[in-house]
Amino acid sequence: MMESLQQALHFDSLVWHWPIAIYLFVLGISSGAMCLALFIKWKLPSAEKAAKNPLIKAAAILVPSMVIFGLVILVFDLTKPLHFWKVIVYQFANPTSVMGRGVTLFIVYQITTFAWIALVFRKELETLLARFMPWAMKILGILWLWDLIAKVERQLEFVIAILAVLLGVYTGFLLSALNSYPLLNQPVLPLLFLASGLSSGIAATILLATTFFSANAKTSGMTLSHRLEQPIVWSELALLIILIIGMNFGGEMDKVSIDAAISGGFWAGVFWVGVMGIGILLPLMMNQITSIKVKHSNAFILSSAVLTLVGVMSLRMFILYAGQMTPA
Amino acid sequence: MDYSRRKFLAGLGATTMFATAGVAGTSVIQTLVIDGKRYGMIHDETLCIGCEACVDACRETNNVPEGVSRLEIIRSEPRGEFPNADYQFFRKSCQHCEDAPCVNVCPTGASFIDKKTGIVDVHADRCVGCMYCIAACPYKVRYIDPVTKSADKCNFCRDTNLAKGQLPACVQSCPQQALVFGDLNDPNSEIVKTLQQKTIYRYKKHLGTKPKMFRVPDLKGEIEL
Ligand code: SF4
Ligand code: SF4
Ligand code: SF4
Repeated sequence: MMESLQQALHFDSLVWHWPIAIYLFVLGISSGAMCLALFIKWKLPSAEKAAKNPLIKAAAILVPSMVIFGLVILVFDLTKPLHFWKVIVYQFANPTSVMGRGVTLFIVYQITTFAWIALVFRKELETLLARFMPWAMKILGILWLWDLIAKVERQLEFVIAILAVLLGVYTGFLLSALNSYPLLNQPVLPLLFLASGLSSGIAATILLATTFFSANAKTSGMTLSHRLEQPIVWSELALLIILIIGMNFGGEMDKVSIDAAISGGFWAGVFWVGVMGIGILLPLMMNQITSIKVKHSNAFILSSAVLTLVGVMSLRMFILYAGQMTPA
Repeated sequence: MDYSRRKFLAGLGATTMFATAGVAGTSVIQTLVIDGKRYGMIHDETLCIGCEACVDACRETNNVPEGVSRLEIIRSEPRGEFPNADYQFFRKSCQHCEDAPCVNVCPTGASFIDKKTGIVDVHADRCVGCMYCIAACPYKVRYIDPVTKSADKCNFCRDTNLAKGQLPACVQSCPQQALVFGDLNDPNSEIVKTLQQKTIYRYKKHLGTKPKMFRVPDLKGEIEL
């Protein structure tokens, strides 16, 4: 067992290790949480309520912190962490690099989402500023900036929605750009990662909102979150099936690679138990067989969120490692 | 800035730039010729005896640290029975792809194709060590140099022997003349003449990388189904 785990985690063709899987995982959470927060806000009657909504609060914490966390992981995973600034300075040296465009995306996404958060929590932030840094309000002309953002609120949200989706697909494109590994070089990967990113973003938001901001089944937005979850999980299942069947229709190395990935060994276990079982089938089943009352209990809400997160993390690890097992 | 222009030509920009220049539809191969030479190499597997003189010569000339190597000679399982057994040899090193995955993915432009020579090389300074290129290379010939912490690989001795007007170290050192190096744009070069005379193949050509490492196969009519 120990030896097979050793082999599963260290093999010759493995270039990118688990930190990259965490990186992809947390970026997916940010993307999904942002999409959910926008959905909820659009459904709420007034902006005032948005700032009080536990789910939006949770998302407002997750969206920027997950991107920052992801970038910290990425920087420390470089062989030259102190040179990371070159990725920013020279990001346009290669216009078609997926990673380069990712860097551009992070910057724009971070700025726009911060602006949005500042807008949603304007009252709260103003109170804080007035209390702790009264001078800042006057010198920096922050109020003027706020008014400006408020004027373009709709447009800003539209742009952020697009950026969040791009962030979701980016995590897939980063790997699908590698034609050196057949399992990674698949066109459905960006969609699969977008869908699973949405799942994990919703789950993480619910988890944080329930544990820290006392959200429960009656919180506005909770029903909407659960209603979104279902079709997303179904589409993840569909995309995985399409991936498996599609690769079996493919060339020699496509077949070899999908076969090595799912029909035996450690990563096949992760796939069937973690991705399919814990992440997809169990939540779907729990949703089918339990009563409304059980579904509305916090225990149910929390446990299905945790299952989803475990499933999505398993998917990231599975694709990353099993993908690199078979070179083209 | 020359490598970013190179990238631009090889990448998306090619369509627009060449459409306006009135040569839309020209292949990338032709666009890469513009600036001059286009170096390639032949490894004649029928001549190679697996002595690995090339491996040592490369290490010495290019100061390659222990633990990594710019080239390897991979020996097959023995063919036939002792004492008549022989081996096939395969050179594992950078293919100097014309459409190079390592260059295409690099976020900083550290991986580049030198436009004067067509050689794929790395700006060690510019590299941050994200290892995207190492993952992207279908030939698995790149590594992180344990000293500089930058990505590295064979660069046809661009900054060593070639800069001094000499043949690459591996080519010089081969006792069998199994390695031929030269300019693919020069119809009179030894490499072009050899390519015209011998049966050659290129490894993983179907991936669209347009490798400039050519091989003379040492296969004795065995087909496995
Ligand atoms: S063989 Fe690998 S390192 Fe060399 S040019 Fe091709 S992709 Fe790049
Ligand atoms: S490791 Fe260096 S050369 Fe390779 S892709 Fe990253 S920055 Fe570019
Ligand atoms: S051409 Fe130069 S760098 Fe490349 S393998 Fe030969 S000796 Fe090494």
